[in-house]
Parts: sequence; structure tokens; C-alpha cells
Amino acid sequence: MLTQARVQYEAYKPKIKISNLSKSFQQRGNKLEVLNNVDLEVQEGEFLTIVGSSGCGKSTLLRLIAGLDSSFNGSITIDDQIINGIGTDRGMVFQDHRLFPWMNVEQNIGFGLEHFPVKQRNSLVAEHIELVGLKGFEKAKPGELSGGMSQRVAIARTLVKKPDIILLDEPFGALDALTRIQMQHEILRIREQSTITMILVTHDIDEAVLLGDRVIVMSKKPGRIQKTIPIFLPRPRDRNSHDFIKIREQIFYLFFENEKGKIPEDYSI
Amino acid sequence: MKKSLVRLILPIVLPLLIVLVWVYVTEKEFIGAYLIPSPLAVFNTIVLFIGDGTLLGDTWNSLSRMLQGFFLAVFFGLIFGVVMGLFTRFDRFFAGVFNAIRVIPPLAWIPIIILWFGIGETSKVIIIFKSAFFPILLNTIQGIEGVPKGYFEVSKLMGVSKRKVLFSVIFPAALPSIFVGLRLGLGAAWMAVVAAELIASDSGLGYRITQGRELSQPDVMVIGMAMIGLIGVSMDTFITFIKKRVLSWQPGIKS
Repeated sequence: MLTQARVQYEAYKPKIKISNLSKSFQQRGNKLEVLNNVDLEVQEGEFLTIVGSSGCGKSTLLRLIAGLDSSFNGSITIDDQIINGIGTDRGMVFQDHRLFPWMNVEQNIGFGLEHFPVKQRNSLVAEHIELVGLKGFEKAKPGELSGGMSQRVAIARTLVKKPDIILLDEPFGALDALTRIQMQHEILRIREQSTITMILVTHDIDEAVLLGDRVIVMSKKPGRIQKTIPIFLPRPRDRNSHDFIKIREQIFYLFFENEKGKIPEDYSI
Repeated sequence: MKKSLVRLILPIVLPLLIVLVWVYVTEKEFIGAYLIPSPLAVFNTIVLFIGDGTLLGDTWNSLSRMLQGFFLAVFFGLIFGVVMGLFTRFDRFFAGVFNAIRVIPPLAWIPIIILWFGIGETSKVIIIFKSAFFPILLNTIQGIEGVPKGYFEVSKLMGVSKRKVLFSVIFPAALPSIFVGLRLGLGAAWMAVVAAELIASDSGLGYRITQGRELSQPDVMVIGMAMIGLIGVSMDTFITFIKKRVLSWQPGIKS
């Protein structure tokens, strides 16, 4: 079964359209260019992953799409509308889960449902606790949860708002290797049940290939899109299959082309 | 079992030793009774003071003054702290004058406050207010300025109202720091009430100590001091107890 069902190249109408995007920061009087001329289209229901080394501007790109930062050149449109700051059509999950430690799991997930009637809010929260597999932990405070569980709560908190687009900024970056794999499968399982457009930023090539319908490889200084790689592997994907490893290898060498001479010699697949 | 017993006994050892030395020194009359009263004399005076209501009256007078000043300080300290912590403009507007008022110690304020308000209750409440206000204000500001930026971002992304952000995010996040302010403020208020009573008063624990000096009654001075210490420690324990309840979500070092 191929994933093309989600991505229809005919009747092509992008959900997100980014053109000519450049972004720079002022740093001690110097202009530091983080993103340079980024053009990108993301389709409705697509799972796009962006992979790049630290400092390539991939997180900045995500923050711009989220509307957390509005000072940039170029344009970002969603459904042909130029974005105007933050909107509830977009949800974001951060590497540090950013749960409120004084609220329990239920309260954290229900945080954004401010104007919902209590009954509806409760049922939505319960539904999403179930979705991320945290039944029985409703009353637990973030201090009592593991890193993986906290990130599940953060994902549920975003999903419960029913956004069109979810932006994931290295959501599993702080987790241990095994929990990370578990969470990757979790996010795929959650995705099966919805058609949300997802953009996930990571520095883990494996993760990018496993999850993405397309992988964007970014280079740094300044951040540019180096290559776009559609992944036509059937799902569920086997990260140890020959094709998977081939793609991973391709991206790996793309990466280190930029940093000449840094390819470890004993790297063998 | 053994460990918990040691833990229970340990804090009592030093006070017990002090009392023993006290008994020994006065029994042997190493030092004159006009300097260190014997435990018996102190005990008799306590019984007398409890009997005629002096102790209760003094304690009540001091406490009620302190609480009036303290709660005023909590009220204004929190309001100004929140506003100054959230809005740089307010902070810039008030900070200079507030700092100038703050660094002048309560004792230096007493003469002019007595000149303006007399030696009645008002001037004492003002002195107490002044002492407690600044620890509460400064810690509230610090707490609010220290709310992680990420919390604001999440709140914005979730599209919640400003009201909800204030009460569900900013305030709880600043609460640990606010509690530090409340605790310091309470201590400062209690010290200020005694200082104010020492200088100009006709009742209260501080007044009782001054009277003890004037009448050369060391036992009265000791009782006044002990009472001040006892109440101070009780209030501090009380506020720490509340803090532990309210901030149960905080990962504690000692838990």
C-alpha cells in the first residue's frame, strides 16, 4: 500500500505555500541570515519532514509558519490566505513539552478549550487521553510523568484544538532512543485517524524517512532547501529494509557534502 | 524507625541544653538575678501575665497591628508587582521612587511618621506596611518576569484569553517566587511591629520589653522576647505549610 492516497498530485492546490522566504536576526549589530530564499509547498494531509543539522534554520522556519515570529521577507500563505500572526488553525509541539507543571494531564490537555461547555470539554479531553494512550493518568502532574508521556500530553493538547496543521519542532529530540522509536510509531498511529497536515522538523535522518511523505533536506549558513526527496516506500515502513537504507544513505551523503571531510570513514551500512 | 526517632529528637537537643545551662547558672548564682532571671522567676511572671491577661493583650495588640500592615502590603505588593512585572512602562515609572523609599530603613521612617500620624495605630500600621511591602513587591516582579517565554507562546498558540493567561499561567508560574516574598514580608512585618512598639507605644510585646527595661525586670523582657520569637516561628511555619500545599506540583529537593 503506497501513501500516494494522501498526496494527490492532480488537482494540485497547496495547503501551505511559502515563497521567497528569507529571515535574518540582528546579533550584536551584525545581520545573521538564517533562512535564504526558501520556496516550499505543502499539500493538504501531507506529512512533511524537514531534516537538517542544528543552525540550518529549520526550527525558525517552523516558528514562522506558526506565526510566532512575523518579521521576515517573502510570503507564507495558508489556503491562499497570507498568514497574519498566530492562528488556531495551526498547532505546535515543541521539543521541551512545555506542559504547565501545576496542571494535571486533564487540565493541560483542556487548556486551550477555554470557551467550550464543560461537558463537551470533558468528553474531548477524555477522547484525546485515550488517543495518546494515557488512560489512568488523568490526574497525574507533569512532574510525575516520563519524557515520553509528557510529550504525548503535549501532542494531545495540540490535537484537541483540531488544527488543520500541526507543526512538530523536534518533538522526540529529548527522548531516549527506544522511547523515540515508540513515539514515532505513536505519531503514525495517531495520523492514521486523521487527515491533519503535519510538518515535522528533526535532525534524525531515520525519523525523517520513516515518517515523511516527503523529506526536505536543508543546508545551513544560510538555511536553504538543499533537496526535496519524495518517499514512495509503502507504509508501515521497515527501517531496516533495503530501500529504506538506500534513502537514508542518500540523505546522509547529502548532509556531509556540505561539511567536507567530515564523513566518518568507518561508516558502513 | 531509629532514623525517624533521631530526626524527631535532634531539633530538641540544643534548646534543652540551653535551658539546662540557664537553670545551672542561675541556681549557682554565677550571675546576678538582675541580669539573668531564674527560670522560676520567669515562670511565675508568665503565670501572673497569663492570669491577668497581660500576655494575651500584648500579643493580640502586636499581632493585629502586624496583620493589618501585612495584609495591606500583600494587597498592594501583589497588584503593583503584577503590573510592574508585566508592563515595562509601569516598572520604569515607579521603580526609582520605590527604590528610594525602600532603602530608607523603617527606623529612619518612624520619627517623621510619628510627626504626621501621631503615636496611634495608624503610624504603626504604616511602618509595618512599608517593611512588608517591598519584599513582596520585588519577589512578585521577579516571579512574573521569570515566567518562561515558552508558556506565553503555548498560550498564544492555543488562543486562550488574556485573563486565562494571567490566572492560569502567569500567576501560578510566579507563585513560588511570590511565596518567598510573602515569607520575607511576614518576617519583616513582625520585626517592624516590635521596632515600632519599642519606640512609641503604650501596648504590645515591644512595649512590654521597654517597660521591663525601665522597671529593671529582666523576666518581663525575656518573656516579651520569647513570645516574639515563638509567634515569629509559628507564622513562618504556617506560611511554609501553606506553600507546600499550594505548590505541591513543584519538584522539591527535600521530598
